Amino acid sequence: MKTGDDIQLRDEVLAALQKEGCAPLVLRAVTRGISPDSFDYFASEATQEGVSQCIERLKHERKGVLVVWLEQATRGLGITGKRRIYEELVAHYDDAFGHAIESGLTEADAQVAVVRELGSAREANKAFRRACLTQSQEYSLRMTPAPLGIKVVLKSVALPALFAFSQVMPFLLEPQTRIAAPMVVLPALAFLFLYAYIKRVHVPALLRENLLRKAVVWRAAADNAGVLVFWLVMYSWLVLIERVWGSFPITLATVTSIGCLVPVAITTVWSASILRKLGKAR
Amino acid sequence: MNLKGTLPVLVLQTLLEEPSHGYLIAQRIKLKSGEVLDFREGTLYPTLHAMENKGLIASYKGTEKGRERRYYQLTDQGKTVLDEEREEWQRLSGAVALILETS
Repeated sequence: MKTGDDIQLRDEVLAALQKEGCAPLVLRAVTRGISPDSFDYFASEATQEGVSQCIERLKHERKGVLVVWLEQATRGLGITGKRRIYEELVAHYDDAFGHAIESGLTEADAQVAVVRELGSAREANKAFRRACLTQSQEYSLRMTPAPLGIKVVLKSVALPALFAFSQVMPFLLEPQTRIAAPMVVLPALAFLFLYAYIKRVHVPALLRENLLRKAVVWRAAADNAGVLVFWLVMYSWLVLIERVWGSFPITLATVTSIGCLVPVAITTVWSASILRKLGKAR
Repeated sequence: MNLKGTLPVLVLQTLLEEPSHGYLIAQRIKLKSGEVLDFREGTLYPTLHAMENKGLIASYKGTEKGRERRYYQLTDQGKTVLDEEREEWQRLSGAVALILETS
């Protein structure tokens, strides 16, 4: 819902545009099928400087109405899909605009006529969201190799150390199981490093080759395995608590287990939705 | 006339002749139908992207009059689907015609 400030801003922008002789274009775009929400485009440039830039763009590119439409149609989409849609639609617009001018329309009328032919930007946005990755989905896939620094130290040393300690402690408490400790810790550490390798090296490499389907599958597998490792750590600490204090908090263990299943389910559903979008092409 | 649901088949049929970019596809559909079939051109691009995801068409970048365009072409899977859809459409339209004639 538009607030009073939004409406006032819209009026101010319109007044500024009117002063520059651009308002008829925008008004006609709004009254002929483009949602009033398109004014969010102007709202994002709410400063006087932003309004001036907007006006300049409208005047120089002669694509102001299309830009309004594109802003609405690509809202929430990832940068890859957005860029491709912009490229295709601007080329489409140029062709259609040329034909409209040839047919005798003025530039202003041609702009509006071409964008009107595109139809509702909101409906297009819904359709694009079904076909392209959204911003959050693309962000989740776009992982880069780990930078050097505290995060690396934390993830490559501190967390494995904590994990190893939590695994070995229950065994060390009883003399007869001490020998089994390394047999548990070493595979656990190997798994942790494999997990880090998949997430930080393998998946980014797949993304660089644009193998999105494989990247989604590997990413989901790594995430799910990571959650299960977390559960294992928690469970080990619960066992440790039982050995030390003599009471096994079974309720807490159950809750923890169920709590770990939730992120596994979310990751699985998330990856399934992305795979469905990616279809069978890749 | 509204094209809801039939746009993918029309796109496949249009691309059977030669690879085209979005604007050409839209114009050909309108032209071939004698301007009877009309649709909002903004819905064409999501349809093309979804069809590409399904492997029915493939896209590549080309140039036209010195400007970069994205062209779409039919895949083998797309040809198979087009044959199936054409057959289905003929059965359906035949059945509707039969009903209309008898009534």
